[in-house]
Amino acid sequence: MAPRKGPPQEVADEEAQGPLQAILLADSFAQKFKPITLERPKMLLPVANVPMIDYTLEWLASAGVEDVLVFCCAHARQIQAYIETSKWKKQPNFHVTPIVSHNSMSAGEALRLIDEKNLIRNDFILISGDTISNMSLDAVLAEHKARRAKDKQAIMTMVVKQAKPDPVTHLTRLGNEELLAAIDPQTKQLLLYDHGKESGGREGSKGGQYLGLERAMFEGRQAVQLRTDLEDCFIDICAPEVLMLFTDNFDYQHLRRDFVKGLLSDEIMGNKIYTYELTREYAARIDNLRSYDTVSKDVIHRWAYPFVLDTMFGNRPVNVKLGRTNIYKEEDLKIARTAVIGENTVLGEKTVVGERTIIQNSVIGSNCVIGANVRIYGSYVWNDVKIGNGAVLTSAVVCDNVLVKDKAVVEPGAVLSFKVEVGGGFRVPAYSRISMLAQPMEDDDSDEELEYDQAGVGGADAHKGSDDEESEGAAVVPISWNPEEVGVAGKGCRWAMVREGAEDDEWKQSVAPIPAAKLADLAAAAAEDNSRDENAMDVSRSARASAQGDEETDEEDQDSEFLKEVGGTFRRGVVEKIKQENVQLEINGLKLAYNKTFAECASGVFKTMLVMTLEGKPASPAATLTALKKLLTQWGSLLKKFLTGEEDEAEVLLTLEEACEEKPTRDFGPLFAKVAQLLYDEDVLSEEGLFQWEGEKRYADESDKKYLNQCKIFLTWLREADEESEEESDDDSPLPAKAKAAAAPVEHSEDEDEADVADVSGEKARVSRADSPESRSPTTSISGDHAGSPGPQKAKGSAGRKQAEVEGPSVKRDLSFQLQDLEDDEARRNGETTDEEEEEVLSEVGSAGKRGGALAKVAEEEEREGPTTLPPSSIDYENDGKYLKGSASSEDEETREVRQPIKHDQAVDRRKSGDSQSVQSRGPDESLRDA
Amino acid sequence: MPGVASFSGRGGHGPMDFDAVVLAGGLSKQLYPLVSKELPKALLPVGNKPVLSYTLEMLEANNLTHPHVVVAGEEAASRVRAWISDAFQDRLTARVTAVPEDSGTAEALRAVAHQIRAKDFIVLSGDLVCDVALGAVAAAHCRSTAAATALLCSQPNSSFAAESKDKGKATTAPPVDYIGLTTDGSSLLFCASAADVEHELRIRRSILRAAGQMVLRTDLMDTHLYVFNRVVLDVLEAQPGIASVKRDLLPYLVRTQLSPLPSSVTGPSSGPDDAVSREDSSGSAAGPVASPSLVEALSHPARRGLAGAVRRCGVYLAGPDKFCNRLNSLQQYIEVNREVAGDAVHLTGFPVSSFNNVVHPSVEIGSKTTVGAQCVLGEGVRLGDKCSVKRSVLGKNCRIGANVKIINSVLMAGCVVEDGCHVQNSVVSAGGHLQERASLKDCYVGAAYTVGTGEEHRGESLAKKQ
Repeated sequence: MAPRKGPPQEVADEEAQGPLQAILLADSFAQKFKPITLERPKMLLPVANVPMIDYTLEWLASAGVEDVLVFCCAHARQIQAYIETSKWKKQPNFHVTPIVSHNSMSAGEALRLIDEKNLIRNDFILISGDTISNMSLDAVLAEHKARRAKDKQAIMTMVVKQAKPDPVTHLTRLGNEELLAAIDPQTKQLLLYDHGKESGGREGSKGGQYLGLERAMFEGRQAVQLRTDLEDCFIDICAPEVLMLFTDNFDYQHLRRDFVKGLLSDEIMGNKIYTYELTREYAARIDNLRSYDTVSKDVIHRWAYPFVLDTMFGNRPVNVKLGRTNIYKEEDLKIARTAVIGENTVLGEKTVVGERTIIQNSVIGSNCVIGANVRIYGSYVWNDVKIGNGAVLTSAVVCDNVLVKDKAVVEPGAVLSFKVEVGGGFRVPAYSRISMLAQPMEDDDSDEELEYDQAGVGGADAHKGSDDEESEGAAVVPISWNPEEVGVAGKGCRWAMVREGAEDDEWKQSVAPIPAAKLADLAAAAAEDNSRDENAMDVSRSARASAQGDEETDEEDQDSEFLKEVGGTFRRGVVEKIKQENVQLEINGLKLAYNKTFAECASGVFKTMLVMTLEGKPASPAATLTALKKLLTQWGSLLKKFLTGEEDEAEVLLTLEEACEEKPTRDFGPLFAKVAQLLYDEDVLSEEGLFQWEGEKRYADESDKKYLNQCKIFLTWLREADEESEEESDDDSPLPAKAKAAAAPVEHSEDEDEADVADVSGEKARVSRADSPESRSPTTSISGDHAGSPGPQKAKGSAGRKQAEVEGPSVKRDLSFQLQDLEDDEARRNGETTDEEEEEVLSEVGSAGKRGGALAKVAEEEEREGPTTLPPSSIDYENDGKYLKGSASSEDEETREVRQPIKHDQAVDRRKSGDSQSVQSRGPDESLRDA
Repeated sequence: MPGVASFSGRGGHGPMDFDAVVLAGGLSKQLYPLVSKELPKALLPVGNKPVLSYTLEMLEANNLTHPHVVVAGEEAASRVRAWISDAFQDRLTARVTAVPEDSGTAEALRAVAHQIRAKDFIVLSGDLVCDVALGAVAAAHCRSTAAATALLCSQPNSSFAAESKDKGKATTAPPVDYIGLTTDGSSLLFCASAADVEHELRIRRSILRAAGQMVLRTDLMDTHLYVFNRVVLDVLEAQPGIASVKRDLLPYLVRTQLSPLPSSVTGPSSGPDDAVSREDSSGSAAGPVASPSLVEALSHPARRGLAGAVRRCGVYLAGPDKFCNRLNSLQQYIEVNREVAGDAVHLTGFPVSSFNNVVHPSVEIGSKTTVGAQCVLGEGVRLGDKCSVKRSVLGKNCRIGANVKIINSVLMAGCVVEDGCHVQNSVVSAGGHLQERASLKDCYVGAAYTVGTGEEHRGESLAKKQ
């Protein structure tokens, strides 16, 4: 790039060689230097006592750029003024043209504005004013042009540099998130650019342990290079089309997040981006405080040569003397003899250093007055700063005109903005940022900050809309200062963390080195991550299966979120008594939004039911089941709606198993079989579903069969019932198959129970139940001789009864309770209010002892056998005396058996009446008549 | 390269102590109708020799004389056993183990795991035909103290049909494997076979981070020859879900190479032995050199307390001049035969004539019959008049009538081809009979099948009904 004569040619000789142009964005559209940038644009902040923009311009000039368009937005006047007075205005063959905008909020807007002005005709260099580099542009320009000659669509060449991120923090030395790039090793074409969240990388891709790489990427190429060891230098060689693209895509804001990503994902236009890797030359962008620190040190260490302090560049006619161990001393220094100036230190002109003061690895600006016994380590002290005796500064940034009084301590990572005064002896906590301007509160700023800043777009360096000094002046300067923030007689307000919710991240991009403790934490977390991952492998076995497993981990967050949402929706439905259909509708919406299956919805709802049940802190397992039953009765049909088949039903049981293992719902562990049965009784599950689940478990490990074994009896019974029902179905029962499915054995029993209540009408029934053993026996006998009763139900009932003896009390009660609920109408018909019944039942459950006679005895017995035995059916009546097995309660059974014949008929009707509500085929008349 | 490393067979005490496991497969479904109960895959002739013989000869040449051969299916196993004891009498002592027919390769490996005594062992597929020096692979393995070293070769793109068809287009063959390597090509960072990749490759970030750079290549093929450290046996045991060596085990090892090992499993020891072997082989130019940057990178976390032994996965890249191919499809079968008859004829050990073909001295050739280059004609083959044989392999005692054209095909032993037949790009299994003027193109004919007079077949599989 031999410099060519003259100003930009007016004649648009399209592709001809015009002067080499550069667009310099003098606004980073980010807020990482707040609050400093409220008062001064970032480009004018000093790096080793020289404003950043001087490095950039100096480099551009030396690299053969002739025409620089400086786009100013925030603090445009300051920048303009600076440029007007700078040497750049006087240089031949180097034109710096400020372009002022007052309302550009992003790089995209800036470029659209420039495109509008039609100032760019050729390939140009797009950089930000905070770039420090010494690279020669010849090679990259030649490469770019050669590619352009062959392929018009090679519209951009991006300069990258190798920089391996820290293995623990995954941050580069410039404090940026690691960049993941896929590059074609032959052509250097960029195929993937993933800067994590910083450039709005794929959601969640950051956290995932796995990177998904599309197969399509390999089409037409034999290899793809994946790099995590690159640092984007933000130096782009662009074709004029880039500007047009920004105009066409008016929503492009950020150069990387929108533009690069957009280009890479757009296959239609076919525009391509290429990379150019720097090897020996230096290039870095000061994007945050960490890079401010790093780049400053690099300058001091002369990596950016020839742009080092002693080469007389920029606008300062200052003589700098370089001593050994990189000590740069400007003129007119007054350093006390006993003061120690350590390595890698810059002292600005006319600075005074007091006795016994130690300064190391720091940059001190001009006209500073540093007292005696001061310690300054790794800090950046700008101009006209006064530091009192005995103060200690560690890894801090201290802006112009700050006053640090005697014995104050500034801890690592602190930022003291312009004119702040720190009271004597005050300790400025680590990572705090203090400014004379109050932090804007609750204004639109914060919103936009959140939204934009994360995206790296951000408003201007200054706060919104204020790009000139006037409006900045309007920024609130509080009248009084909080001594807790700046010490007694201090001045300044402490800012909350610039980014909300980012307190924890402050260490990432601060001047201070990352604390060792933090590193240890991270390392430990990473190790845990790794081992957890291996465990995940263990579970998910084969590679293909594990691929899914990993996906699960990837989607873990989403999963839990989904569950939360479903749970919340359901809970709201229950609490606010929302109509079931509406709840269903909402959950369906969630299902679609999260792309889940019906089974997953059901699992979510069911889990919530379990949790809700336990939230009531039921005193006993019995109470637990009662509560669950209540919920199920009301909402079981909702659950049912999400179950589309046996698989789904089995899924519910698997969920239950899971829940039994998980902490909050572990109480259900011993109740597994009962809950399963409850589900069956409530029609949520069909036998097919249960068998499906059983089938799925068949080949599971023994340990996984824990719950299956619990349910063995129940399942066996179900099977028998099934068979029996088949046998009997030809008997006399007109009951349709559906009814059979609907009428679960437990329900029967309850039906019967309920029937008790129902047909004998309320009080009477209860009285009979409570007082006389007979009252129970009839029910017991119901299916005992089911000659007259409809087949399948009866069958089930009978089968259930076989195990009835072992039944725990709770279930039975619940069931009766449920029945009441279910048959609300019936009950009402019989002059019984549901509430009363409920109370009744509850009281029964709670204190079996109150009841006299045989019932109490039975109850006690049941309780004794309790939940551990867990027989399937809640029916505690023996179906047929003849088949009675010698169970513990057989004696009792026998007594009942004896009684059976007495109330046989009654029992039958009761059951029938119970059924009638669920089974239309059998009218209630019949049962009533029977009664 | 064979001089680089000398193996001591089983129980030896030399610097390199290796066991060898040959996974010889059983009745591969991909090769139907060529394989049958009588002819398991391992015994399928390639250049008129059972394919297993190439593997065993390679082991023999490297002094690995006590290989374990695992065959799927009892019957197949007994046939293989009989054949080995006959053909390799006094040369090899192979121990043939049968596993159930539907076993995966990992299952097969488990079956012989308890018999593996050496510190490292080689696992290779019985259908591998290659001339890469095993010693070099093993040396690379030892040098890098890897837990696993895979032999990779360039993806064979000499598919004859593809070449002739898509001459105009410069299409690259669809990838067989996705292989991620370090930039210096010494370590395996990712592997997946294309069949397992649906839409996207899933790459472990931690590994990518540790390496910094990864080159994902599609022009390489996993040859199914691995050198494993004993550690891998523990992995196999601990992960019963691993079914296939190539598709499960290797990806698993690659994926977890940074994960800390369970304390019970010891990492690849880096005793003095390794140091010795490292020095021994340092002279080899072909062997990859362990990348210091990766080694550093991988041990880097340890400095931070991420203490963890590393199961490194190494790679040996076969040079472009090496021949490497496997019999895992019908087309591949023809291709391997053709290559063995042509460029890789040195593998057969047959003497090559000045016409660049192998013709057994007992072959009778009729008048005006031509046998082109890259042909192998077995013992007792008789060719009638005016025949033309090009790039084909004819098994023992094939009888070919007059005016027959055989191009780019394989005829196994005892085939009868009557006058006027055309056979192109086809395979005829042993005892096949082509009656007059039969014409086959892109066909695969099962054992003892008869193609009727004048029949024409295109792209079919022909086999006797069972």
